[in-house]
Amino acid sequence: MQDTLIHKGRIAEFIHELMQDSQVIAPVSVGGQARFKPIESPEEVEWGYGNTTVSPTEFILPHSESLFQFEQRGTDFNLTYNIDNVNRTILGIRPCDVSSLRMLDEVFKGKYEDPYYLSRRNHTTLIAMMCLEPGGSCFCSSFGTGPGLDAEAGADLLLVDLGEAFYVQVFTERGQTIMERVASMGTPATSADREQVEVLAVQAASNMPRTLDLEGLPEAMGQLFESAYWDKISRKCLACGACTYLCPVCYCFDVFDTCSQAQGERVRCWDACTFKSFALLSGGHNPRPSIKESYRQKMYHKFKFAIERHGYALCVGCGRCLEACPVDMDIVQVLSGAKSQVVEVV
Amino acid sequence: MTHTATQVRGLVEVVDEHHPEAERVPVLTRARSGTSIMVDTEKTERIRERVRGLLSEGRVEYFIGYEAGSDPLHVSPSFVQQTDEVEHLVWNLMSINNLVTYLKRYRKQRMGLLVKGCDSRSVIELLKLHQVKRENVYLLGVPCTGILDPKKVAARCNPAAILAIREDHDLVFIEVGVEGRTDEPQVLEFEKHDLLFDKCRSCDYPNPLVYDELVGDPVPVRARVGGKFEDVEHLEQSSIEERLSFWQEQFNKCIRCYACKNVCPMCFCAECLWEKRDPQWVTKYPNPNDTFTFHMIRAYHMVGRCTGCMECERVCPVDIPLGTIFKKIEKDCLELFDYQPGLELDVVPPLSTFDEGDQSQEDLLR
Amino acid sequence: MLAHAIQNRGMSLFNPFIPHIATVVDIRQETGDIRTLGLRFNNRDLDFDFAPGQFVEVSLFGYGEVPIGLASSPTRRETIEISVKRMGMVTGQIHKLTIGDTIGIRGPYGNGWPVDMLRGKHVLVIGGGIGLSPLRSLIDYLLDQRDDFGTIKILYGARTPNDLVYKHLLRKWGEARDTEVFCTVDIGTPEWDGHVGVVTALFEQANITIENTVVITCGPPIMIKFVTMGLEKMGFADTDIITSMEKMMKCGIGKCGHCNIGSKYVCVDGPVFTHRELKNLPKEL
Ligand SMILES: Cc1cc2nc3c(=O)[nH]c(=O)nc-3n(C[C@H](O)[C@H](O)[C@H](O)COP(=O)(O)OP(=O)(O)OC[C@H]3O[C@@H](n4cnc5c(N)ncnc54)[C@H](O)[C@@H]3O)c2cc1C
Ligand code: SF4
Ligand code: SF4
Ligand code: SF4
Ligand code: SF4
Ligand code: SF4
Ligand code: FES
Repeated sequence: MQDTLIHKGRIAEFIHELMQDSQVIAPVSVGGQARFKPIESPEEVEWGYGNTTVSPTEFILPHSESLFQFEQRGTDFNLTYNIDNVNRTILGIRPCDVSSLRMLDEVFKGKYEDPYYLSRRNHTTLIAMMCLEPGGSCFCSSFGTGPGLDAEAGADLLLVDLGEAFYVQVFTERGQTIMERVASMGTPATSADREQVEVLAVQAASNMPRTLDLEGLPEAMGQLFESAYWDKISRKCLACGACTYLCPVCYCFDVFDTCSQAQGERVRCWDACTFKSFALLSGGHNPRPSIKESYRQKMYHKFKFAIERHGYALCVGCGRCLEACPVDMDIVQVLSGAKSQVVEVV
Repeated sequence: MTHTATQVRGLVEVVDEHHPEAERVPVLTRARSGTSIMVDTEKTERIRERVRGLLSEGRVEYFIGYEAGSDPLHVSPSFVQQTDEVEHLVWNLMSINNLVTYLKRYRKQRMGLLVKGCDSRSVIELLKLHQVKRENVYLLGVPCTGILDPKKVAARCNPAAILAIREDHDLVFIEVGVEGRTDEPQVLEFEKHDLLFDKCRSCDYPNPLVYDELVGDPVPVRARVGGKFEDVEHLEQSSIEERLSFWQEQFNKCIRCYACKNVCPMCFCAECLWEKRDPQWVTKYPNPNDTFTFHMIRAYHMVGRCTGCMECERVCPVDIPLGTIFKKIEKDCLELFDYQPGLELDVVPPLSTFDEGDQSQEDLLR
Repeated sequence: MLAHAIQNRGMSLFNPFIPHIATVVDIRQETGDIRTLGLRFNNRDLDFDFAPGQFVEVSLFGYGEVPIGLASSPTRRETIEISVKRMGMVTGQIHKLTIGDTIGIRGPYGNGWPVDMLRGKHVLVIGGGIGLSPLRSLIDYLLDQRDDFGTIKILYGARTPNDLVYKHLLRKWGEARDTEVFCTVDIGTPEWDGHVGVVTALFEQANITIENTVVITCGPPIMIKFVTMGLEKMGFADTDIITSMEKMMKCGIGKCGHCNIGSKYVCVDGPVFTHRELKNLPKEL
């Protein structure tokens, strides 16, 4: 597959072409803050964005969605539902967010395939944007989920900002088809361009402000479950949903009905294990009665249970949980702290 | 008062190949990898000393103050239980969190708490509403000259390059390393006013109104630039339709993370309406109606309670100007009842009392 | 009835969130707050195959969905039965249903009791309160294939005599070949001439043998705790003590994360676990 250079002067044309057969989702400014939204014209795109506060994965696993509508007919019920199959292109999605989708795929496939998620996933083209300047709380290089991107990560195309032009790397057939359609807008990339991309990737990785050393972490956590460390660490946590709702890998959801008269719908919407009602049983028994247990669940689900179940941590190092936390809870410090607890004991 | 980098963790020694004579130039690594924290040494020392005393005398079970955050522009709440943890405590220009919010979780314990002027108003209101017992809290009050808004600082200089922040009366000097090098620091000068949190720019009570002891001498009230209710007045002048569409647009951003509700020291219901399952009054579903209702109900519950600490606005990850709602309430409360929450212990909140001279609903609506 | 298969970009997807509509054909009030519903699917062609110990998600449209264990045995397929204790919003509504009303059923979900492992063994069934409901599915299953299993002993406890469920069945079971039933209540009444005390107090009376015996138990967490402690003390291997776990559930199909404990999702990996498996899970019960 031939990589291409598209001069920035022609990028509007490129986006126009994408808009021909798909809804294009790109970072735009919403009251000064970058957020991915469907765009109507290429001019709306906010190119100078860092990683967005809310991940564009919200277009694949939205905050809430209708599972079905019901209508009462006598004693019977009529159920109808809609599977979203709008063609979408997410333009400018960052490598960490692309990687998070691969993790979500594992959850929503399996024995019971989730048609809502999978249909959206199948109908979405991912045009990723390499990160040249990692943000202040990024640590994606610890997971290999950024700042660059390789073919396995699951994006269709990767853009790299080379100043005058975007370098476009093709990863999939779907990406190839797009590039064939826009062939006239670009020029074939040279090996010098390729080298420049590689240099940039190395530079970006070495600029990564923070690292989390995963080595030995699950084992340490295995010993630490009952430790007072979690009590101490979680004291400042406010049990809100900011770190969960902004995490591109958190997938937990709540299900409930909304209803008026004889019709209504069943809805699912994001939920957070940090909320105190998350595990609360009717009758009042709560297996995770305090913030200590709920915050611990958050850390363990991501960094121990998921590793046991899927073989990887449910984290791509995007740093959003830290950026959003009202009390500056720093996941890297929390986990490195956990590891050093065990070292201290030994 | 000087803020100096007394403790710069994350400094790495590197040899500069191009200037072998300038061997071992310390380079500040990017902010988040190590924490460099500027502290007000004088106040920090006083706080540590007092907390050490309170703990060793057994007067408090915990002391809640601030510790270094993940970067120079943030601090984080710190729970100190043992005297050897006292060294974690700091005080600096970034000490924004209203720690009073933790009182609702530790109602029954004897807590020590660091409070600024604004924070102390939340304590007064909680005392009035019988949410805490005065004898259960030991208040270490800090007269406050204003806290810097990390967003405003970050908009003006790269937070990763900050080496030190100094304050001199109305000026703030931020020392930044050039291209990450500390040998040629550059000093940027700002009007302090421009970097302060909005609430600090119009703060009427920088000195704690309730405390057991003060750390430092009381400070004068900052001369106000512009009106306190400018944003509210601006909105009041627009039509109902414009206001509605303004707020609808804002609330459409809301992800219903409840950070605003959970950080609020005055949101203390044991079971919040928004969490109740049976009956389930409202869902977590962020449809426009439910979100609007959520914010409006919270607003109504805050009348005569909210002391304007602006924590809700600070923590909102999607930048919804929640403070404007609460300033509107404060303004109405002031105009209608001549009442401001969180000032005096023995003044009854207007919505908790009735007297014959009260204006009727018709009067109010007129 | 809907066709739940969806063609999607060459993938054929089944929609696991859509319930089948079923009609309430029978209601039996077991106790003050527990009732048993007989249900028949409106789609008569639906092949609803399940194993004892599996559960379904029951929908009350407009109120929500709850996981409920199947109380009837797959060997008796005219209707399916569930027994529901009134706890909160949805179960409260279930208690207002009348014959002819319709509800939604998704499932069956979960692993169910390990019936194959029980073949040729003696089975000790220990239940508490509403916990007898998923055990009833197993007991009827065992009795319907009586020759495949050894002796069956059923120990059942409830708070008061009025809280005992399936009173008619308890008697019937006791009459079956090589089957004994022992009941106890925490608090007796003047009319109650049976045993008073916790269910573990029945161990001696029941003359339990360890050899070739598997224990299947279901009930409130506190009962499970004392039962397993008692059994282990008697010498039961932790792999021969099998129990069903109750966790908050929303989807029943391993997606919503609510039932997570350790690396397990109770809805798909459970709800049935051996005591050994439970020991290896975090202590968040
Ligand atoms: C595998 C399994 C089998 C069960 N079998 C039975 C049974 O046979 N008979 C019976 O009476 N009860 C059974 N339960 C418990 C039953 O699911 C709860 O009592 C019921 O969900 C309470 O719902 P509610 O709407 O009335 O209460 P609310 O408090 O209003 O609950 C709201 C929602 O929370 C969830 N939830 C609350 N409590 C529980 C809980 N204990 N377990 C799982 N989810 C919960 C449900 O999704 C429910 O819709 C079982 C639970 C599990 C996990
Ligand atoms: S965002 Fe911070 S305060 Fe909120 S739940 Fe997460 S860690 Fe706790
Ligand atoms: S846990 Fe935090 S850093 Fe990791 S993916 Fe989630 S939001 Fe990003
Ligand atoms: S961390 Fe919590 S909210 Fe996120 S996926 Fe895990 S259990 Fe769910
Ligand atoms: S903090 Fe902001 S996004 Fe979160 S619930 Fe409050 S207003 Fe909504
Ligand atoms: S509503 Fe906002 S400003 Fe008012 S007390 Fe609560 S957090 Fe502070
Ligand atoms: S109930 Fe949803 S994952 Fe188990």
